Amino acid sequence: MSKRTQWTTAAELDGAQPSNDEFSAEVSAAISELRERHGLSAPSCAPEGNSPGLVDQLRKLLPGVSRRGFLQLSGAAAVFGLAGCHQDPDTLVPFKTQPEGSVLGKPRQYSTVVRASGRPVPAVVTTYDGRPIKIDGNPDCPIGRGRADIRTQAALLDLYDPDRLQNGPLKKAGASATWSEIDNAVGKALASGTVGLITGPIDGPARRQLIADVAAAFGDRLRHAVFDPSATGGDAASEAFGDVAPPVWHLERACVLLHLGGDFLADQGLAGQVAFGDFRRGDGSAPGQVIAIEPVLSQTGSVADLRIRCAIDRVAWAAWAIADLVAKAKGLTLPEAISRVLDSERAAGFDKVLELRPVPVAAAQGKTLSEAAAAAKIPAWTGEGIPALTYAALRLLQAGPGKSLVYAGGPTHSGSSSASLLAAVHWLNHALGNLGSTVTFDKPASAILASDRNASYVAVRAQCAAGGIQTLITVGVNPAFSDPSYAAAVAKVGTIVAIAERNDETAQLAHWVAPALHELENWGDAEPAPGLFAVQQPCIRSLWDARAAEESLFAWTVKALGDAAPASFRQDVSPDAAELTVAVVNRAPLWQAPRQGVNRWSTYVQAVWSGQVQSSTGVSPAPAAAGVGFWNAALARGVVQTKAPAAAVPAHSGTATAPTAWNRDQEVRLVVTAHRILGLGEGAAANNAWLLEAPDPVSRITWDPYVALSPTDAGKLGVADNDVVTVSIGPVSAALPVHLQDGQHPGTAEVFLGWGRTAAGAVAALGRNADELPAFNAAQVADRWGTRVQITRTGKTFILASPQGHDRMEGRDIARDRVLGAAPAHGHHAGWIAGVDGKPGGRLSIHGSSIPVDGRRWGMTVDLSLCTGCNSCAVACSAENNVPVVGRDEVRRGRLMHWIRIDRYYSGKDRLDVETIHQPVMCQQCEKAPCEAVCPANATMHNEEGLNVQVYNRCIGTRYCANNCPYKARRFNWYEYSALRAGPKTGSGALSPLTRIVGNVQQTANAGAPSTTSPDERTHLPLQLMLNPDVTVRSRGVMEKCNFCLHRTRAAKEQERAAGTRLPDGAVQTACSQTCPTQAIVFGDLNDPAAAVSRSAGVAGGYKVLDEVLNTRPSVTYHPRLRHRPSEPDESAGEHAHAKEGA
Amino acid sequence: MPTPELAANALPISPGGFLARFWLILIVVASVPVLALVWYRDAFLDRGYAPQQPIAFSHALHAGKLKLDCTYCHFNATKGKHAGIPAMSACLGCHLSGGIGQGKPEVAKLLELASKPEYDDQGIAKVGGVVHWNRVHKLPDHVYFTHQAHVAAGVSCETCHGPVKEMTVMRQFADLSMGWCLECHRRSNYVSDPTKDEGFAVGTASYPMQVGRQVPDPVVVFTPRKVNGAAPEPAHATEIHAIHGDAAPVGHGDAALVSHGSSVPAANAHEEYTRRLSKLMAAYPELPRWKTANLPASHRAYLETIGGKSGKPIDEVELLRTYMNAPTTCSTCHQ
Repeated sequence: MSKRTQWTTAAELDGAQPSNDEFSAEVSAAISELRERHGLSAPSCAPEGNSPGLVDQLRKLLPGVSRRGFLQLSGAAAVFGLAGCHQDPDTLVPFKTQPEGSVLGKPRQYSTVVRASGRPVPAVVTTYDGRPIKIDGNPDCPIGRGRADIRTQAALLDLYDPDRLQNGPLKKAGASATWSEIDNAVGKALASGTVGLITGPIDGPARRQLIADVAAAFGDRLRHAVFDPSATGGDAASEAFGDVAPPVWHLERACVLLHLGGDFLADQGLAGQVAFGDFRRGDGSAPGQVIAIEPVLSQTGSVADLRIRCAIDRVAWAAWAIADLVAKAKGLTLPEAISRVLDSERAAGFDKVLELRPVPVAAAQGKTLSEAAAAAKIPAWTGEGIPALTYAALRLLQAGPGKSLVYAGGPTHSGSSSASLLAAVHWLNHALGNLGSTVTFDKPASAILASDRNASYVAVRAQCAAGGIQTLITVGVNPAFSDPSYAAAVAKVGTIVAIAERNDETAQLAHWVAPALHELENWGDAEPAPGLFAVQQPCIRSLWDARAAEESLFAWTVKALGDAAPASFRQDVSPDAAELTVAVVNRAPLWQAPRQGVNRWSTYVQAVWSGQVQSSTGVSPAPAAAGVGFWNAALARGVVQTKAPAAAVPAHSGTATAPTAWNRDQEVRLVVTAHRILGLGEGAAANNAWLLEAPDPVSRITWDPYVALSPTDAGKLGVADNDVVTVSIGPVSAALPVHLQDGQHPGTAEVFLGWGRTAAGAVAALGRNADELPAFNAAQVADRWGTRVQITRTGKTFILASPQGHDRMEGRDIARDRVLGAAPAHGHHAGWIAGVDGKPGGRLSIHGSSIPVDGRRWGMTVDLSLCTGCNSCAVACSAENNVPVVGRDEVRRGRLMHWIRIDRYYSGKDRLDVETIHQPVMCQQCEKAPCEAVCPANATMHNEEGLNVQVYNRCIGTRYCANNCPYKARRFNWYEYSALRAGPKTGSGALSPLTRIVGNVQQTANAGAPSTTSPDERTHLPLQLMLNPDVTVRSRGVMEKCNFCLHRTRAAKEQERAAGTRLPDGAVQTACSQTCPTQAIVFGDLNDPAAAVSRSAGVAGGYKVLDEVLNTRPSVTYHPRLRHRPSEPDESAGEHAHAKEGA
Repeated sequence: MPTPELAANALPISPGGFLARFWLILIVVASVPVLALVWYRDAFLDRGYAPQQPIAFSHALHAGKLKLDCTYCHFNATKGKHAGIPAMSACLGCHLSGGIGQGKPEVAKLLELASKPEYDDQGIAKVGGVVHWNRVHKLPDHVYFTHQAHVAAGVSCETCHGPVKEMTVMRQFADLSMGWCLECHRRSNYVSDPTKDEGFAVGTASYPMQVGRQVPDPVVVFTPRKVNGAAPEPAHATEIHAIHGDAAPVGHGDAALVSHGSSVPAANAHEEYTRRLSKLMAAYPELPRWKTANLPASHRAYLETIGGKSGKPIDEVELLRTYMNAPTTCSTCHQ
């Protein structure tokens, strides 16, 4: 390929012509399945009529009945079937006392904190009748500003996960125990000997106070360790700056991001993603520019404006080479250790040595750039294009002091092999004047963070191994999964106690397991950013027989120390003080702190907040809100800002670790990265079907781990997509399917963290044969950056389930991009002939005339420059609209149900240097919708607000609409997906009892019996609680699709009608536009010229997909992906028109 | 070219073939009444559904005799989708020990329930703390209905729920079918207006693309309700009347709604009607004018009947008609 092209899958690129039939794969799969079921042989679509066997069979069954007769008979059967339907009696159970201010059928919202993403995200939880149905960001929080990342969205499913511990405490080997048993036993064990306490990172004033109180109570006997499996290599920062807090990256203040490793968007969570949105929108003059130098195609790399491929072990060299250019331009000196090793390579010119592709530049821009380089004291260059490192250094210098950001970090770089790269990052930020601006070292006021590479944990582990610890308590951490040496180390510990939500790998090693509450059931607090405090409050009573981890610690401390326990842990025993409460789902009586003489955790939190937090705020939010007022105000608002002093800008020590010599062999080296933004994290979310089914932003693979290899290595290793290979790295060895990743540097293999859980639950274990594909636990790879890896073929294959290429839009001009500065050149459909609009020059359409919409006309704009492909919108949509999970097999058949999908396009001249477009596609709500014209049941139609709506109970499942939808935005319920937890069971389509969630729960309360029937049904009940009652649950045979959150626009209408006023712009949001961390999606009323969506839709360059071809008049406007880089010599037109028809 | 296999599909009529076809036809013919029955039951039989309740609560007593406003207990109807069952605390507000109705067996039942725990020591749910009422009205899951908008629009509770003030046992008055919804939305002030955003846009009727399907919709035909044919009071009602110490009201049931049915003697119909009307006019001096055409056909016929019989001038009948079109429809007049 010498010409720039665009492709979605490699097959498409290789010239394999996609079949004309959109559903060919689906249809042939269905046919072969049917044939198999009827005992027929080779799958074939040949028109052979009924096979003789089938006809014979029919004739035997129904003598004298023709095919027509059979159909008549079926009709009669249907009638008798109908006669069996009737409405079941139903009970209504009123409140005992209706809570003040509540309205039945209207949701209530509570502010709280959700830590599912690995860091605290202040959230607003929507509850219906006391059950959370949706998590969104807290709009009052300055970090997220009402946005939420995908894992925060998906935390809802974790709450209702039936695989949580349900029936109270456990003894060794899973035997059940009572709370008094565990309290007595653990209290006794804690009374003497050394106690180890392993927690995750602590933040929040009350949580920190608790640890301080426990430490004070036990004195010398307590060894507290913080275990954070994704702890970054903080030693590089301490080498550079001495004793500083972990860096906080402020991308929103930068104009240029030099991304050298890790994955900024995935590593930095919600804060990073929101900052990326601000950064990309820019300061008005130009959008923020991302320059990525990386071996694998990270998510940040996929949104980069300029991506430079580089071998793993040369990235640190590239970083120092840029530092060298910057140092020269700024008149600084590099650390001595660095300049010594750089000298040996400098003569050759680094770009050449490192084998970096020069940046192609059009002649005119090349001249401007060389002038700029001369002004910035950057050496001139020769040859074609501008050397990549020179360009990067030039852009950093052009941005000005404090306006750029150099980044590397995250779990990928927690090992020692990244030390030099991280040192380069710190030196560059120091040299560019970014410290104090885009990089700060503000110290969190209430945090106990993991020390360097978990040093405190390693010390406790060593003590355990040496027999120095008698009792070990783990709180909400799973070191047995992430740390290969944990199990052996704790073997000598007398009593191991795990406080855990589920019976995970660590809990299975414990002698006692105390079930903990999910964060949506518990109190707490957090410090999401230095000086910003957030309160966590429960949004539902405990679903199962569990208690707060903090109350467990209270109870055990009180048991062990008696009166010596801190006063704040105790209270007078008052057996009647608390009414008996029971768990929501299994009705188990809950453990009551006041009956045991133990303080409530909620009381403790309130005391800390009314005391030290209130005084540290100088009472914001309002002076009147003192005492209980302050507490209530804090609960309502969720976050309070305190006046934290900004940390001083540290001075650079002048020393840095030198990069190690790179390998010149051709071995494949491994990169272990965070699982992009989907973030199974360190495995904590492995049982979350929403996350497993959300396609990876870059590879778009769902459900399974894989090893990503460069396409050029495929031939060398003799592997193709979906081949299973054995990946061996030190002690960790397992089989993984191969995905050939475009854009990946040759000689690089990438695996992802978070996979390989063995005790996460039923969904994590679903449908994967452990013999064929044993768990590959990448978390146990100590050195995650450039370790040599062995890859051997196994000869087996495993089809990775990916929706990429399923919803093909036939290669039409759909995803557009444009180099910044180039005029939006478009108009290859300028000359429309007179159409049926009745106007001269009106467009041709098969549909009637335009439809005037007077009131609201809902519309949307999507900015492809802002979309990072994170899929937060898809999960938010699934939660809001009760979108089912279909499972791996159904995804393979092209039946993913997401109402909004994020298509990914690559473009470039070869498969190695690719540029990416992420394009969210939802129903485009066409004014002239092709689907409406073909529905025989009038099940899809326009409503009075310009929406194309789907009436489920009219739908008879012809699927004509889906066939006629040019955007492939419609989804069909091939099975009763809504009744399944993770799709039909493998293969046969039979419903697995394991995966059933909507059991036929009979309410027999009047008879005095328990209101749930069998234990099995109780197990699946919790997932029903998650459903949004405003949205119909669709059944089998029904078409569904995005309707711009119709129930929300309806509710807004009701609200307007009741209040008699019009809601302001932005008050009505769809689930996707509400959660989008970068605000790529804007939703509103197109009939309101002042609305944000109208203004956005009017911006030049916006386009409506396929409108020019089909005249469908979508309500969604896309803005092309702007590429902030020099034009290439053949890019004079600016915008790439990727019209592939006839190409 | 037909293959041999295809040819084999064309089954020759054998001697046994006729018999087989005969029973097939028999099945199809037999299925017709079954189909009709199913349709009839689905369409109408939910009407009059009156399940036995754990406590024999009487709306006739509370709303009728004691004149409690509907929204006193069902306050949620003005605020949200559901009218809601009042919380236990609402019952106990009056009936708490020492309160109203002490010693009555049903109040005793209520107090006993309230005193019981919701769960036993094992956490097993017991019928305690609250009353588990049997649900009477139930809309299909796909129906988006909100009480709030209807109450705000001035639709009286009785319009849909019937003469609740006379119901000792709560029962379903309307069939709550889609046709029943449309009947009102077509004939009331809130008939859909495609040019306006406000008002009830009913399904396809509001959308100009289906211009041919605007009102009247040939698919859903308005059928006047045969209220006389509504289900009779259930058998267990007598028992409950006994409990409350009152006899079954005369003319109880939906029949009371339509005067030319039974309850008001035909001879006194006009006097009775004008008496009620003047009372109504005194109570509501400013009734809005409604369209006569919005009235059900039965009412129009009735008005014409009494106008003719009484020999009153036609303009008075017109006046009567004007007031008959009161916003709260049936119940306002027939209270």
